[in-house]
Amino acid sequence: MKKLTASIVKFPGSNCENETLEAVKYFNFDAYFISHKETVIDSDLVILPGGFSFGDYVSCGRIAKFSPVISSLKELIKRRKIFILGICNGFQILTEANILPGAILENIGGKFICDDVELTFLNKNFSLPIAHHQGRYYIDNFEDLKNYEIIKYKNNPNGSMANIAGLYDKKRYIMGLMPHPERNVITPFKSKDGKNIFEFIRNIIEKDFYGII
Amino acid sequence: MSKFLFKIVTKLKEEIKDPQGEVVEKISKRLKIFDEIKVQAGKFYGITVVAKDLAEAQQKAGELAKNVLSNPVVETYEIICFEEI
Repeated sequence: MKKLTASIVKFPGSNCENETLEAVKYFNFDAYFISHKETVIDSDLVILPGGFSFGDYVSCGRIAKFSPVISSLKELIKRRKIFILGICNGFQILTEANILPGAILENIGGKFICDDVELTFLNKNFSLPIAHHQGRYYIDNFEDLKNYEIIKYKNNPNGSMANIAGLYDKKRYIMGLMPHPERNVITPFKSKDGKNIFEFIRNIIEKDFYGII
Repeated sequence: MSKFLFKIVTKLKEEIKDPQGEVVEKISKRLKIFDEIKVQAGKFYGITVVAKDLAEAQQKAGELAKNVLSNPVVETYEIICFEEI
């Protein structure tokens, strides 16, 4: 199995980075943390983890979008193949930075939701935990999603448009999702369904970046 | 250089569902303050800056409102007051 590399960005307030590191290591990635101030990125996979960033003042992910690492990622996407995964706060940062389309708003009921939710992605059903106050996906033009695979909620918990829990840009290899796959990879207590997401990412990188089938 | 005060209000676009506004509408009706009410929630920023003149201060205030204080996909902003102090 080829040793792929993954860097996990730590923002002030990130709090899911350790589970994320362990989850990608489980999938045989050589994984390490990088700072939000980092400008040199040489990994196959970059993950913006869940938690918070800069207190999420003004709005979730708003301040983090000005981090040097985000500018570097925007440049890298144009220059070479790199897979970017944003989980929860990471997804919010990706939309705020216009790396993914749309925006993420306060949940429709105005409440923080912490629950396991049923999802579908590429005709596969699985369950993952969510934990957010601002997870309502909004987009004003659905045409902007024509190159995207959609991760959908079965029972929409937060008022997201079209039950959207996450997006995957097939052309640019960018995925953002509100549920937390990293929490359900090596836990002894719950489903191991988070493996679906990391396995998918690993397979894409092997096949599309290195031609390994 | 001169000192300026400007006040900025950001809010969700009208077509986007606003849970905070709806909660205020509901409680207003329940407390019988206003029966007919439409509320739009938003955020207020009072900002004091130093700039070389009014034109520069206004231009930079717009930049701050557009890039930092609001997300043009879902929000609008309005500079409601601008004065030299």
